[in-house]
Amino acid sequence: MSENPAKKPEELSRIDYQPPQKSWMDPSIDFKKKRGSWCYSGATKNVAYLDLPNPREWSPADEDWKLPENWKEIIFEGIRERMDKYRSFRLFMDICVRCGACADKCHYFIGSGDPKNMPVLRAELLRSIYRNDFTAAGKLLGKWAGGRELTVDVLKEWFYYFFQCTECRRCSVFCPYGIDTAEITMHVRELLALVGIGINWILEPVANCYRTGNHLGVPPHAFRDNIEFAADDLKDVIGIQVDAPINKKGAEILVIVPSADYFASPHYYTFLGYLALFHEIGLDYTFSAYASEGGNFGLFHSREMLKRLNAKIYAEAKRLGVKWILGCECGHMWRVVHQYMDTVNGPADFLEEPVSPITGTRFDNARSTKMVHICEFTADLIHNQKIKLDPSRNDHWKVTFHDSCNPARAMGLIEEPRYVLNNVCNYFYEMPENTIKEQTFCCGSGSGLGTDENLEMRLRGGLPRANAVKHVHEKHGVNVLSCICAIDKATLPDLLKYWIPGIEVCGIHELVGNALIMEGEERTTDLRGTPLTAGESSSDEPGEETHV
Amino acid sequence: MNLNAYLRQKESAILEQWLQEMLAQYPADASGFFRKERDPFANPVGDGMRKGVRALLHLLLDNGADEDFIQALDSIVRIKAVQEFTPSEAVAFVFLLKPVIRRQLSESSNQELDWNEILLLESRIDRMALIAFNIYMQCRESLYKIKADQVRNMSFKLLQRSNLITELDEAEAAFDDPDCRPSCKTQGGCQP
Ligand code: SF4
Ligand code: SF4
Repeated sequence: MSENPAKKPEELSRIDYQPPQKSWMDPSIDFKKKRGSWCYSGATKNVAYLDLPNPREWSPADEDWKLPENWKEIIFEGIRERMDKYRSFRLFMDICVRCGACADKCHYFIGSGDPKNMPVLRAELLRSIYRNDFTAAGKLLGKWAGGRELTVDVLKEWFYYFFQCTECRRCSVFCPYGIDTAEITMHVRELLALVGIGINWILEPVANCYRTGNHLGVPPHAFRDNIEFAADDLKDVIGIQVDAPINKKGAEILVIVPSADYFASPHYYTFLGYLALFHEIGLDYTFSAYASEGGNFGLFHSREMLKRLNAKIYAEAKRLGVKWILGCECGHMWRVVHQYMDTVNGPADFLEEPVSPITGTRFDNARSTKMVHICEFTADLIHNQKIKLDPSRNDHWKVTFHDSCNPARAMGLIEEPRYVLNNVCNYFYEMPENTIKEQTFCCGSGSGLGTDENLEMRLRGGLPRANAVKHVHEKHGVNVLSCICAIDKATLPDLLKYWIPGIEVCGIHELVGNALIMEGEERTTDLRGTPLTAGESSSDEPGEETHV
Repeated sequence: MNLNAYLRQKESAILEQWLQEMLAQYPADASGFFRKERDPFANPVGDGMRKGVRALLHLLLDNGADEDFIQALDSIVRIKAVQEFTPSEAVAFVFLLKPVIRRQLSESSNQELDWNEILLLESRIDRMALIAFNIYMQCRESLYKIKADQVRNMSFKLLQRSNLITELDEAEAAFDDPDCRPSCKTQGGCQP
């Protein structure tokens, strides 16, 4: 903003704000300047613990990333290997016609205006290298065929932009060819990992999980303590001491929760909701102190890591001798189970095809993985009138529902959560159609990017979601955003604090736990300890704009 | 015709040009999208700007109250405060209105415009810029507060957790305290 004496007085009042228009092929990124939009590198101890290549101290802001000498060879070999292994990868590299249908569908582009956050251009960052070195035209024509040479700057650019993709798959919904940019991101993150480039917010939970079975590093005795505390807490609310079995051999069902459910807020109230529900229907179940994590940050690192972390769930199911598995409110766990588990660790043929012991319903959809989503399970209970509900106990909440990317887009779980919500609360309002269901907007913090050093980027990416919440807040007085993903519950509160303060975040089974009429209960508060005022009501017409 | 009436007549041209100037702050691919996509949910940035500039121009011409300016400015500044802008770039859009209005006036054949009125309007734009800067600072403060709270909660929890993990006797004792509930702990409630 320096004053230029050659400028006319009129021009002096203007600020030179126009960004220099550089070609998209130029990969250079000034990490020092871009604080708030990248994540810290993986700590040496975590990289070493996981036996991953090139453990060392480094920062993205450093000039020298201390790459192995033959890094280029490693990357090329990695691309080649993936080309051979995954037909989809080859297709995704070859068939994009650059129609642009996906371009404006990414929440990060919508919120930031950075063109390299357009999915088509994000993928092009890899495709240009592929074109240059793996296609005949590229080898001959290079740049003229849209090819780029692989340089350290390209690698740095990959790090910047492929850790600005939450692997949410919204873009793929709009691609006429079904190109899944999230998968391209997964491939590039794998390639980067080969030369020791990764972020700590992924590697630390993965290392913890490998050691203790959960992302937080909670050892078995602390796990037991937390579960027991939760049962005690629940007793304070409902006046009933519920049983919460751990490692119970021969139980019918293994229940898997994301670790945040028994540790963080507001997840914890959802956890209390599960405990209340399982008690009321007399479910024969068990938690596992080793499979103490539904989440799988391995998914955000590599297929190998995903497999390593997912395996413990099935190992525990086998060890404990359960019939099938009930999975709780976790987002990406369901992507792993629904799309990869069967291939990497399946088939789980030592388990039985899940049948609800309460209703007798057979969950055919889980025939292969043997894992049922708790929203399906609860919706089935409600449908068969096996539980009594008083939705007016949630009358202090005007609820909207955020479809978490993975349950919605990776497993098509669209109607079940809505069915449950419509039965447990009187005031449920949908956000606009192009922001929910298959088209849902990401929280902006998924796939391991929910860390505080990345907050500006998360707030940009979360803007489309927050904007839709704002709409229903202004129109219907919505005061709580419900969701069924632990990352959502951890990161949406911050997002809302910035964009639209005063909105709470909750899980669906918190609302179920509130509404559930239990035998012998004595309740004066909801699960959060807020007093229940008898006959709470609102002037609003209940149920408007709800979907059953 | 007085200044106000004249500018009202030119409203749509002024708004279009002002928006154009603002959009030039973004790379071409983005500014095209921000301008063209009219669905407010598909394009919250463009929608915020479009609605914001309209409201602001009306407030300027109607000599609106500060609270209303704050609300209208917020819809633009809150977004810019998390995008890749320096503080001056983030509030520059307010000043961009001046050349737009001057251009309109210079094109006018209307000789009777009162200079005092013009100066007054420009002062009001300056005032608007000052309010915008306040909002920018508040946005950044709330951002840092969110970061600080995250770190505070995290280190508190980590302390608790590491006590458990390393099996410090006092920590175990604290966790055995029947009055000390995790629902309280998880929210950083019972801090020492
Ligand atoms: S998967 Fe999601 S975050 Fe990644 S490019 Fe597509 S829309 Fe953007
Ligand atoms: S929608 Fe599909 S084909 Fe079109 S530009 Fe995007 S990835 Fe390429």
